[in-house]
Amino acid sequence: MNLLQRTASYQALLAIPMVVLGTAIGYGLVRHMVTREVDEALADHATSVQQRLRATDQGLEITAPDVLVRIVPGSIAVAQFSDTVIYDSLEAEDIPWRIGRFPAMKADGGPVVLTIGRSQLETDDLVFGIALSIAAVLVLFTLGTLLLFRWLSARLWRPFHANLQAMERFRPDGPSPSLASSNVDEFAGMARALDGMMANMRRDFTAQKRFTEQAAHELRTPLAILRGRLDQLIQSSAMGEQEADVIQGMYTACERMGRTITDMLLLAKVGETGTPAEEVDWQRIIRDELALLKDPIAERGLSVQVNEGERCGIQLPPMQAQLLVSNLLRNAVQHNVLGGSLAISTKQDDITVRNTGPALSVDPATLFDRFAKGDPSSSSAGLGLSMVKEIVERNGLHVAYREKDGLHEIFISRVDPTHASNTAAVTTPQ
Amino acid sequence: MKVLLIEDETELRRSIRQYLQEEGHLVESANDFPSAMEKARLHAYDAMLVDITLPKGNGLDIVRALRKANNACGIIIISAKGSLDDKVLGLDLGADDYLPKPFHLPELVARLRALVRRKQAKAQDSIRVGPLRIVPDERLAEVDGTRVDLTGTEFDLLHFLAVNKGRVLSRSAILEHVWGDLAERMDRDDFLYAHIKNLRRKLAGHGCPESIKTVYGLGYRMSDPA
Repeated sequence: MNLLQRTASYQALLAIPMVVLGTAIGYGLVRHMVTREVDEALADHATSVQQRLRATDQGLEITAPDVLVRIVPGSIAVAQFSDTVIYDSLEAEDIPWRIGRFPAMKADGGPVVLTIGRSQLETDDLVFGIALSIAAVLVLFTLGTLLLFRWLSARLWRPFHANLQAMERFRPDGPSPSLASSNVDEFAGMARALDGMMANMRRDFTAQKRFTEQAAHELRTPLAILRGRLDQLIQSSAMGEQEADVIQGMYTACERMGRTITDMLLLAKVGETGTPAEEVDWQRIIRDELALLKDPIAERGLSVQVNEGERCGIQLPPMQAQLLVSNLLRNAVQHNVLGGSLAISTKQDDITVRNTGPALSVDPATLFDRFAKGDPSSSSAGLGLSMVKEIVERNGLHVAYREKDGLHEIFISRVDPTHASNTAAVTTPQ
Repeated sequence: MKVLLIEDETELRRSIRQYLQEEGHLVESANDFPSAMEKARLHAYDAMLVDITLPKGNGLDIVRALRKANNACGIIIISAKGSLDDKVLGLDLGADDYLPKPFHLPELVARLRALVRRKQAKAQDSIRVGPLRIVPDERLAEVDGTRVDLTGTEFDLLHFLAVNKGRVLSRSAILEHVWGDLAERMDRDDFLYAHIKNLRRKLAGHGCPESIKTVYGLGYRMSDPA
């Protein structure tokens, strides 16, 4: 629910009881006033009948469709008023009446009770009419106010919404979104603060990227010297087993360093602005990457299964899509067991990789961190899955790890799995 | 083969020069842009190894200038920058190959050899190791005129060993040459051993004397049978 809808719903919540209450009070007041008027009229009528009774002893009894006068012997102390309903055979319905009972005296001094009644049919209609008018005016007024407020809020918040949209598109490596100016102090202040923050982020991002690139380049030259010297050194014929072991250790260290540098550069590259996300032929990329991994898959005797549930609609820049699949599959092949299995499946909104493998030795929560390694002595730099995370987050996707039926599963989705269902939440393996 | 090595890093320059000289190449070197330009203009070389980042200039400008002057010498760019853009630009300017640092020296030797083979249009260029003959362009290996049936990987392996005949090749150099980027991420030593074993078996099956030697703890060396 957005800001405008929320404001409107609060206003409506307040307005509905006000309309109901207002109508009820209005109805009650009118009703009360009309009843008093009718009672006065009945009393007036009674006075004239009483005078005539005393003078002539002749009480005029009337039975008309809307008036009724009766005189019966008896005595009451004060006038009494009441409402009643009388069946009207002519109209074939119950009609509301107002009845007044008054004390009176005949000429001979005998006490009588004078009953005078009036049909309330018309006055009731009048009261309802008035109450309806009150309700209509209140409703119209409330609706008008709501609409006016809505229009005003929309106008007032316009720079806010424009800036919000601009911020959603913001990337530290992209062009600077221009923020809408506003003559509302708060919005102008916010735009200034955001501009400053974006400038800082962009500067930091560029500096970090440049540093990573330069560091990687600067490391490559000495590494090239080291490797070259080693390549020369092993030509020596005076090489014993011990020396060979030392040199092999140096080669391994060189390889590890080279790999880390390559991954650092790739990570920096993923952060680069460039080609926009587009439709990706995931099946083709998966086929190509599996073909590249043919040898190591055969070597480990893995059974591979590719399921294309639905056409996968996840969009990425092509290079990043390839890098993503490549890292996912390499990870699944490398951290597998002899004769294990590997399955990759695509659906409309997600990609899932499932593989057998030894139990995780790192905390699943840190699995996607940079330099997180299952085996500290492994020559892998532990940047593969962090690259997956980098690509995924950079493109507004979500990634989660879970262990299910003894299989490791990495799940990439367009929708946040922690919101979508609890089964996809990150769980700790047993 | 006469090679001009343009590289500003002294240690790396010495290392490459020594290795190529031992291969029998004639190597001259330059350590900055002006001296590189001068040597490239004055002398004729079969191949040039050009670093991109140089004092007082950019190696890519040397490539551009040479190609503009219709100099057809083979050019391999060796660079630590390793970005795809540099590679594409270098090859567009007319470089023949691009070798990112850090590379293995045997890899450089193999690339030089392939470059010269292409340049001199020696389609039938072949490498001989005893009775074994390898024709790279046809991906053919034969022993005394009989074709040896090899898988793609086995041929790449054999070719790399043969091009660097007489040299000890480290496992990491071989893995990187044959499996490229993939070798970097997988622990493949056992796999390499299996392939070498198959290769030896196939060569022996054709009566080829043992020519691939295991150098303990380090790698392999191919040499002419005694």
